[in-house]
Amino acid sequence: MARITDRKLIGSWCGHHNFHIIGNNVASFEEKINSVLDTVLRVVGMPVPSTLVRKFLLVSNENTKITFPDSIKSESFSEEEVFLLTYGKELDNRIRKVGKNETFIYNHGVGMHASDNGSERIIKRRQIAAREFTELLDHQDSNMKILHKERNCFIYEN
Amino acid sequence: MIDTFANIEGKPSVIRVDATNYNESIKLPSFLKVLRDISDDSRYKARNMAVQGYEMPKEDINKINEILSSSDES
Repeated sequence: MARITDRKLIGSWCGHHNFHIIGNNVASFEEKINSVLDTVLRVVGMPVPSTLVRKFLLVSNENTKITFPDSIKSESFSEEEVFLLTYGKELDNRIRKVGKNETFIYNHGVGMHASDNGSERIIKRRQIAAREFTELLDHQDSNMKILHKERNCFIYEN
Repeated sequence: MIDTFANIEGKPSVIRVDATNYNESIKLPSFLKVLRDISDDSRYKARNMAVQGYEMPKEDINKINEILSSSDES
């Protein structure tokens, strides 16, 4: 029963920008609690260490389309990622517009070193209004182009 | 999640998986064809891909086209 409810909840929230799964593949319960804490802090816009993301290049090109089996629930979105000029200790400064069907959410992320020796990096991310997004576009780094992405979110064997 | 970079020649698609550490074994969906792990390849960092004049590495484009054309033939 719990598994069925879990699956339904995951299916309902799949693709939401603040949907996170706290997995059980951790060494201890304490680690799981810390993972919950990091996730909540990130959502409320507090600076937290950047997450570890593994990336794999897929065999696809302009002539192919990523397709999902019927058993996998997926949601697709469009995303624009704009790189802004960095100031002071900022390492990274970018805004994103994500959405579908003409409905969008906007966020602003700033990355910086957490310590003086630069060994740890933190990201402060917050949701912003469409108007602030437009205003921040004035600070776009002219050496960078806007990245247009098609994003597919799905849950696989979690 | 899978990101497809629509305005980069070659339209690269990248699957992103959150991990707890570098040694964690990642099980990727069997319905996707993966070319290679690019986690540490700076040429695929979004910040670098956004630089004006960026080009997807030719060797990857060639390998992808090779695989796709061989699967078309079979």
